[in-house]
Amino acid sequence: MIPIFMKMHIREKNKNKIRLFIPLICIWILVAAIMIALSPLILIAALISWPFGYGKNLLLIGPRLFFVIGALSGLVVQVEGSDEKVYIYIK
Amino acid sequence: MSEERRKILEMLAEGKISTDEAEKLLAAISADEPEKKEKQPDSGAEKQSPKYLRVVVEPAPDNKEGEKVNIRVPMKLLRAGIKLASIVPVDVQGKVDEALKEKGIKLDLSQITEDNMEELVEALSDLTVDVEGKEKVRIFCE
Repeated sequence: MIPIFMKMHIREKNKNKIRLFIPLICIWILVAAIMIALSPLILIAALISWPFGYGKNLLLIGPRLFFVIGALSGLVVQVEGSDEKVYIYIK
Repeated sequence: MSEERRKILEMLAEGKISTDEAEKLLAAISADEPEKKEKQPDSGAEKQSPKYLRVVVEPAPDNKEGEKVNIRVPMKLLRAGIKLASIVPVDVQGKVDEALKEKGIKLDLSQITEDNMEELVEALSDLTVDVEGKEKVRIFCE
């Protein structure tokens, strides 16, 4: 399942805290719209590069990137130092 | 010695069964035992594959300025990354392999297939790395 949101907390000493809640679903909708708009160009590029062996790879980039994005769900990165703290959670 | 074997030998000692009958019973038990042993690896294979790779770094108690690190990477991301790497053109893969070799990593990306990745993920389920020094480092799968 593609990740729905991302939480990001950044705290630095003597600086303001940054707390972000990013609804990734909005970004995915935008990315999907861009991919749909670019799909004819990608198809043409794949047809042109097919004799050279790169056409199949070009067509597979989209689905494989989709799998990578879908696999990001559950990623946690947390680093705490004496002066700073970073927390990233993708779900 | 299994319980069944013990009972058979007790019955033989008490004279309840003859030597031939005891031998037949023991042979029958021996025939059943390999089947039971074959079933045991199946129960081991039902062990779930790990879902996350965890890296935890904690500073030593006397190190107040140390950093704490907690990273959880979904195993699906590793699989998806391998699938993405498989569409890299061959000539580019060669350059990547050379760059890795210069860094001391002898890895041939073209040899890593989906089946190899599944075996690697299954093997990672038993991986545990514990290092204690100035910092305590733990790498494990869950």
